[in-house]
Amino acid sequence: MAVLPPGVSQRTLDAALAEWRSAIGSEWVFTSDEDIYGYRDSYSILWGTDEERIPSAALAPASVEQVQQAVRIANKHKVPIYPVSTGRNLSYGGPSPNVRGTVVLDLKRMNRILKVDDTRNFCLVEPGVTYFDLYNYIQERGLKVMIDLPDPGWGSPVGNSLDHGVGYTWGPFRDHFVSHCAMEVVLPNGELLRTGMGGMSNADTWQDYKYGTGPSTDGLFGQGNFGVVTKMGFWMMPMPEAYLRGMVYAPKFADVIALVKTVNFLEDQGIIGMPNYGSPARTAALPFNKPADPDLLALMANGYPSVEQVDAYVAKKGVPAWSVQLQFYGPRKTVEANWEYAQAKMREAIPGATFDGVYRTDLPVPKERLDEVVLRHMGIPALEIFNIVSRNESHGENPPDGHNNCVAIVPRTGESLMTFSKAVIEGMRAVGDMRPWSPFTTPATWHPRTFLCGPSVFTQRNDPESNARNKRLYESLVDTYAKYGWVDYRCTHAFQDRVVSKYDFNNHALMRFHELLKDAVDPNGIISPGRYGIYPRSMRRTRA
Amino acid sequence: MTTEPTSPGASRRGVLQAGAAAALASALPFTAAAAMAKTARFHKAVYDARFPEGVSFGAEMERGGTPTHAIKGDITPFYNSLYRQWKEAPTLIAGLTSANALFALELMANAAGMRVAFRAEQRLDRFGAPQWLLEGPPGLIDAAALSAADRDWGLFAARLAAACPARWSAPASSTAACAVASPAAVDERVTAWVLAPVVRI
Repeated sequence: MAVLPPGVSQRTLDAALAEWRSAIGSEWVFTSDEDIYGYRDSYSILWGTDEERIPSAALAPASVEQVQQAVRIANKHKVPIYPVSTGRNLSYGGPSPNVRGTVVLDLKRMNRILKVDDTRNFCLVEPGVTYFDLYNYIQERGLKVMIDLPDPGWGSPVGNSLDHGVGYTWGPFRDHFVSHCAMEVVLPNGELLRTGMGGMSNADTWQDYKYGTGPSTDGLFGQGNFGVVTKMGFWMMPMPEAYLRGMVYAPKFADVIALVKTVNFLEDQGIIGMPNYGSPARTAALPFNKPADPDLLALMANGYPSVEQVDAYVAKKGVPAWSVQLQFYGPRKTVEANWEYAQAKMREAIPGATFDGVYRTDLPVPKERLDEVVLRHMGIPALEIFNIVSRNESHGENPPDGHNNCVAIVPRTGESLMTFSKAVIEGMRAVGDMRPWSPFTTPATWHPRTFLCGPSVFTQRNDPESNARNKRLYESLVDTYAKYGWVDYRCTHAFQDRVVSKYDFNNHALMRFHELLKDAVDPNGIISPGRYGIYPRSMRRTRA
Repeated sequence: MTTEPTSPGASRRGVLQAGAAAALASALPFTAAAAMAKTARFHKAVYDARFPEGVSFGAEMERGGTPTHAIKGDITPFYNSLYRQWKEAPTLIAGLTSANALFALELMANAAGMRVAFRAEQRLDRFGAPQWLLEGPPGLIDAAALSAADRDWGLFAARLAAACPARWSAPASSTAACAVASPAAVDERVTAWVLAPVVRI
């Protein structure tokens, strides 16, 4: 399956490949179909089509010096490259590039853990380090820090944070880009840059103080294409003494307004870790592995239901409309006191609020209790998330191979949640998707200051028609979200142009500024063309 | 060989069973002793103890001298131990797990220079009847398809794995489907598999 980058001839690519082989070793330059297969996105909604973002080759340098050489060669021949840390951000493009034919710069051989400090509570790692690596390193040395990790622990802290990835514990740590401190970057001309205090060669505060003096440039390298990040530091949470979780239930549909307000009050003071919202009413309406509740279908049959109609449904089902699991990390006495306080605040705010499901453990979690906890909530890497693609009645006989999350940034209010389902239904129906949906939107709370809401859109490698249908669904959801002022916080390559096109303030001033920077920093457009809609001048299309 | 999906009560199943004995005698070294001896070449075998097929698979691997690792759904601990091993060198492994567990291992295997050399996945055919979908080297799959129906699938899969080449050299060129009488956990897409190092030319 020979593909070439846009505007690059086979002869030019061959010349670049020859120089890359000389620079980093021929065994680390991959061009065969079999090798390239590993750089396809397993979750691609474009799988097997002419639009699939297949690379022409891949390179795996082992050091910063080799990355610099690889970038200089790319620049000399004007061949685009796409850096990946471990290529594991499934749902968001995996190891594949934005533009078909781009050469993947695979950094997984750069896998050194350079520092973990449990006095100042930070680490410094290379891009090829995985969460498993970091966890194993900490365990083997008995260091007293906790990692915050995403769903599967096989990815890279560097790659995840650069993609604005998220985790599951305490607010300041689960936004992984926010918790970074220190970057080393190979610029498109091959020059090496260190941000923040790394700009001062003898400073010992590179992983402690983010900004240095003057403008902060780190943000350009998150979801960006201005350089190849070769080191990153991260702030870490000191291992707390204890963990406690408890469930709160709110009986009525409109209680979600007070529920969210109270949870925000608790989280923004640092009293709770990540809250996990749920809805027993939604579980009754759309039970896993079973057909939708006929009463739900009746409720949704004649236009979007009123609050009173939804409450009548909830009352008939005899379950609370909403739930939230509150998580506490800290000293034993403090987590108990905070749970008491949280219950008191909930009772004040929500008539009829109830509580149960209290669970306590010391941290780190004793081995014999690991089966009782959600590992990622405890900073332990896991892979249990892959169970979501099992066959069930909603998936039919041909269960999906993957999914693309169509998840929007939504204000952290109950009112937003009450509106969100309406928007999803609008987006689905616009493309003839008539699947049952409920009024109960339960948000992801990975980002501490916003809700992230939206469905997963499934992909199926052996079913291009289903993929095409789901692609239309995803696009419809993006367009519908935008009407409400919402937009995806990240997305796979197939939708990035569409998503960033929604940033329309002052005639897309933000994108125009990004393009200005791109032209100045990377005039040959060799680093990740097309990433989040930022194309080099040679590939840029006229914006309407 | 590519066969059509089977259907409940169709005559295809009877044809498969009728031809099985003769095909096996010439195509596969499936005497128990021969198969058991070959399982010892695996670095490790992993099985999901929630499935009867998994228990049977693990027992057969152990009889052959292969170290085994039992899981109950979550592949994480096995993944982490293998992750450390494969950083040193790729090694031949076999398993009978959910398809999801294999997915996680397969992506790691691809990065370590390995591929799925044999796969038998439980699926539903278009009539909703469970079947095993086989994929692997032609000689192995052609004969296996003819002998698979109504067997102890865990045991049979262990022997198929043992007969699979220890090095991967080309994409699977044979697929086949065969009926299964009593699936244990259809929702989990129970899958038997071999992950083998790639032969680089």
